[in-house]
Amino acid sequence: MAKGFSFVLVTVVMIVMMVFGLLSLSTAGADFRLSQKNAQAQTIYYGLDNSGERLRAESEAAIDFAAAQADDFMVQKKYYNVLPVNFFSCLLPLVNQVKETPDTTGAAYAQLKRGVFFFYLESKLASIKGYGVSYKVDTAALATVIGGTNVKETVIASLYSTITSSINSRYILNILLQCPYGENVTPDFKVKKWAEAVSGNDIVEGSNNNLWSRK
Amino acid sequence: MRTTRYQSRDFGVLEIIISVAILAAFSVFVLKLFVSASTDEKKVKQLDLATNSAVTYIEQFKSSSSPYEICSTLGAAAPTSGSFKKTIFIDEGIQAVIEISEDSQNAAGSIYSMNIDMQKATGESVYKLNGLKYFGRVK
Repeated sequence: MAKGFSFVLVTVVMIVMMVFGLLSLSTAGADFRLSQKNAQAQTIYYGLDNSGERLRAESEAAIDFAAAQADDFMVQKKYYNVLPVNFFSCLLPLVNQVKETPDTTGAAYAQLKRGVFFFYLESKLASIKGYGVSYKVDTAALATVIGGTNVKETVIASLYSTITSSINSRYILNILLQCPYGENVTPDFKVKKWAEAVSGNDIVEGSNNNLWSRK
Repeated sequence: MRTTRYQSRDFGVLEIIISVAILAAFSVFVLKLFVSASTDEKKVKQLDLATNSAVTYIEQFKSSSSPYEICSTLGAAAPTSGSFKKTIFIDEGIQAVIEISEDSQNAAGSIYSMNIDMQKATGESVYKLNGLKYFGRVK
């Protein structure tokens, strides 16, 4: 073996190890930076995507609002000359009739009939899903509920013959069921506000034992 | 009297000690390089795994038709009310803390948020990602 061979060998090994070590370190560092860039890119991407989702939510809400406004306008335009007069003129005596039902079987009975009236009024309106959807009154079931036929014949028949079956539910429900008067208001109050809305007149409580009268 | 000076051709103790010391110093330096590289590679693996897992969960959430549909995929029951939170252990000492809750709502629907915090076993956060998904109301 030549003189100094071991020195050269050891030196070469050391240099090679050092070079590989430096290469490994620089590669790992580059990988780490790339990985960080990838993570950052994903964060930015989903940040923008989240902005898009918020924009989409706002857009859909705006579209819904605009559609509701358009529906309301069309319904108002279509029924302005028919619905307020017919419905209001029919609704008031019906409400009064129910309210002034002779207390022959006790106050609870009159109260029950009144409650049933509003229950069916609301359920009918809630059941109308759009234009042209007919709604049949289950008078037999109603009679069973209230235990008689007088309300069926007088109140319900008049009511349902008056309300057109093509009233847009959104228009009515916005006013009656989802009106901004809270959930704890009485049906009287809701119907009053509804009647005001569809008639365009303020309605005040009368002193002649009627529920309401026109101002 | 003639004195004969003995000249050895072998390494002396001092030379051996010095050469070993130099070798050791080099070795330590080189080993440090490899250890640093290995540590960095481990970090890269963890960050890549955390990023990819978080993106996968977010994409599953965004492709679902209801906010808590992903709960069954995660092996948990959907909450009846409030928010959903679950920790899932992944590989490489990484765990994902997934939270789903309602972010905001309007008349047309709600925006649900999925927050993912990818953590080490020690609880140290590696990567966080937030995804939103808008769920419109059924009309």
